[in-house]
Amino acid sequence: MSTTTKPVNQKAWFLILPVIICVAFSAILPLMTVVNYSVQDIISPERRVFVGTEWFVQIMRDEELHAALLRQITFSLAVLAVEIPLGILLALSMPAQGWKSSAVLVVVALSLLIPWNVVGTIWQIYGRADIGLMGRMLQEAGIEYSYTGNATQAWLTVLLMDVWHWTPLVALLAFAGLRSIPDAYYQAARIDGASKLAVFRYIQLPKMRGVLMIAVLLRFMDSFMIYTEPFVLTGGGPGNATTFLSQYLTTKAVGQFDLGPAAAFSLIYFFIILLLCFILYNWMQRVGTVSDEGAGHA
Amino acid sequence: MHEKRFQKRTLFLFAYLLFAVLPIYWMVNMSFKTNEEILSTFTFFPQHFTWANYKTIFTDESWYSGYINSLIYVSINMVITLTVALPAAYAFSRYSFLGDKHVFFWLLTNRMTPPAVFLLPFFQLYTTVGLMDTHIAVALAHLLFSVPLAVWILEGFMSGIPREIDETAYIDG
Repeated sequence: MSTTTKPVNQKAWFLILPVIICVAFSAILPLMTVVNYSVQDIISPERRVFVGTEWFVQIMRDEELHAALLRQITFSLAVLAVEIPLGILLALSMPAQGWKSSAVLVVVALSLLIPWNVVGTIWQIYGRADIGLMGRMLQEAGIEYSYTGNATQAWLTVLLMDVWHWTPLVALLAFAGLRSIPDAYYQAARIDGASKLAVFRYIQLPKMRGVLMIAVLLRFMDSFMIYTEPFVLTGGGPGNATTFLSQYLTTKAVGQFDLGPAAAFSLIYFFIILLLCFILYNWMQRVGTVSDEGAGHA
Repeated sequence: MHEKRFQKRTLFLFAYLLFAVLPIYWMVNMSFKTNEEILSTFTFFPQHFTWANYKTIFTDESWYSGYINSLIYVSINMVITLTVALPAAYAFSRYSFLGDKHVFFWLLTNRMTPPAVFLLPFFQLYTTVGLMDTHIAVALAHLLFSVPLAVWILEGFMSGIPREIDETAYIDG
């Protein structure tokens, strides 16, 4: 939002009132309910006891939650560690102009268009050792592969699925960043006799910094909330190997009806995301206004 | 040196494209096979090419009621979203008012909230209001994500239109 010459008009509040009411019904009310549940023990609809912070204490000490949180953070970091470099590499190797560029872009963006649960289904079949291409190939190569039986392989499959689904996003963002570099920069670099690596390190990387930061935060937040794909692919199993935070929460709330702890955890989860969102938002505001002052240290 | 580098990149690009396309190819491949073929043999191309699967999903009641449901949700959702988001986007892009940035950010946070967080209260809320298992409930629940996004995108578009055009329009009556 540019803040330049916009007239101050408090009546504008009436224009956004419908949105507020709408979102209030679908966001604030539910959130208040969560807050309500998180401090009460609901024995039956008529009998509820105020328990204060008991649920928070209980959920914070929950071993399963710790495991799920750790798993989640490991997963999100792994997602970043794979997708960001891969996305940059992909953007660098995409042809810059002509029909080839468009064709490659379309193919690369293809996986972004697929609904999440379909992604899960595709990989579920793709990875099956009897009828799936990947599962079969690995089996032929002599690897005992099964995403339903082996915890590590299940985890890796979910990671691979996420890489397949979301690397294009990073690649497209990085590609857009690369396109915005004027040719003059490259010419100057060529005159200076800069190596490919130096061009990447001192021209391309700093120029991509803004979009990459957005990519990092988006990917981190999204992978932090991942639910559908692992749910379809492995259902959180085997054991708890791919039970991430969202799934843990859903099991607790709907599966076991532990409303109190689930609500308490919902709030904690919400605040983590809120914090990330705040950082992202401020970043995007700054990227728009501040030019790349940190050209030397990317 | 330059040539070699270029080839390495092309190679990598093709490797990635292969990786990107293979799962989709496999799905398409299987969609043209009969069930027996999928389960009994392992083939890269359908041996007994068939449209039967597609015929099923477009004629079978249980399948196409799914599309109809989706269409209903989408229409309800779209109508509500646009009616509430348009004025809001206009307000955000044309006027500054007390707390506008905070409201905008708050809308954005809704887009970012883990859906799982809202699962529990939605369930309770809609049961209470008696909306459970209706099309409206799903559409309303989805508003949570579509409205902020719509406001966000529309705001971007409207800010792209220079104010001068508005003013010219006013002058022209």
